[in-house]
Amino acid sequence: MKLRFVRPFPTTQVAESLAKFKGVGVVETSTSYGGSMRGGNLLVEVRAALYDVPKRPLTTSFMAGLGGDAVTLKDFYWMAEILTNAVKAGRVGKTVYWAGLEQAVA
Amino acid sequence: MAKEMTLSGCAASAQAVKMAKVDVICSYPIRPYTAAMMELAKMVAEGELDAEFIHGEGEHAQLSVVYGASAAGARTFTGSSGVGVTYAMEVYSPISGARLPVQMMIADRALDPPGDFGSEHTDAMSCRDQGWIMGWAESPQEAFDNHLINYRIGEDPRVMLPQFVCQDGYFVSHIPGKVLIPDQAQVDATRLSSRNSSPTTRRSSSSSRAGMPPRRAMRSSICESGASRPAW
Repeated sequence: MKLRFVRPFPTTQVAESLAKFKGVGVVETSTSYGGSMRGGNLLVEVRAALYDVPKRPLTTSFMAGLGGDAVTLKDFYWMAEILTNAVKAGRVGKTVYWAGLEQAVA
Repeated sequence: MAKEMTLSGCAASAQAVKMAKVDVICSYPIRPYTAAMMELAKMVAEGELDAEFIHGEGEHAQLSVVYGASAAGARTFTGSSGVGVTYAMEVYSPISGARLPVQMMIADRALDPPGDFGSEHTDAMSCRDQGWIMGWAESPQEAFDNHLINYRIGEDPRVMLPQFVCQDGYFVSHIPGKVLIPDQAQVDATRLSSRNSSPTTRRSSSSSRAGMPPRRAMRSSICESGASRPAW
């Protein structure tokens, strides 16, 4: 799903649209050092919006394109793989994955 | 021996900053934090604190001054409130990005409109994503403690980050409370070994400028040797 507006945040619509999924990956291009999600600013909002959903999806964030870095199709396959594995395992390993950086390490 | 004093939050902050023996202070008035700078200005004028006290042209200038001073190895202090905090916004990320342990006091106040002086955290919270350490004091005692704690943490070579040391405007900044003030020797012994061991600082000693005359003496000797003496 795409967020056309972030303020005011579409809390109800996000909850209704994402409630049916098992896993949600939030792709973001901003970070907050020391924040509760260790990075993703939008993840804080999306997680909060999903809090009252009876069967909450697993949520994590993917940091992509910071500093104008190119985000490639390969990066999105990598994100999908992480999310698929998280759903299979029933838990997310981290609240933030850095696209383009973590693959290079792994 | 530690002593007990009755201080407002701003006065407690100024006491802590004095005991931290800061090198460079940059001020610009905006209430309610201004009271801390008034106290520090008095301390410098009366010779209790040997620091450069610089009047900035505005908050952006304040942060730029301490950015440069901290990069040169000085322990620095600045502060603001409300719209002053947001006016300096550009300079926060260069300071944290450069890993400089600048300390900034914020006595929280509402943003405009409508030119509100009320106490709220919107000013500081608008800067929470800038990579600074950030925390609040709920009493003058905590304000005093937090300044020293933050210098210690921020200047640790493993951390090296600037710090927003926040307190509620008015409710903390202007209501006096009992503050237990430790001995200067206690502060010297516990707090400041960290910046000393950092490779990024050229300070020869954390608690004094070893082998150097006090700044006041240096300044007057420069004035006397020159042809013209500045107004100050």
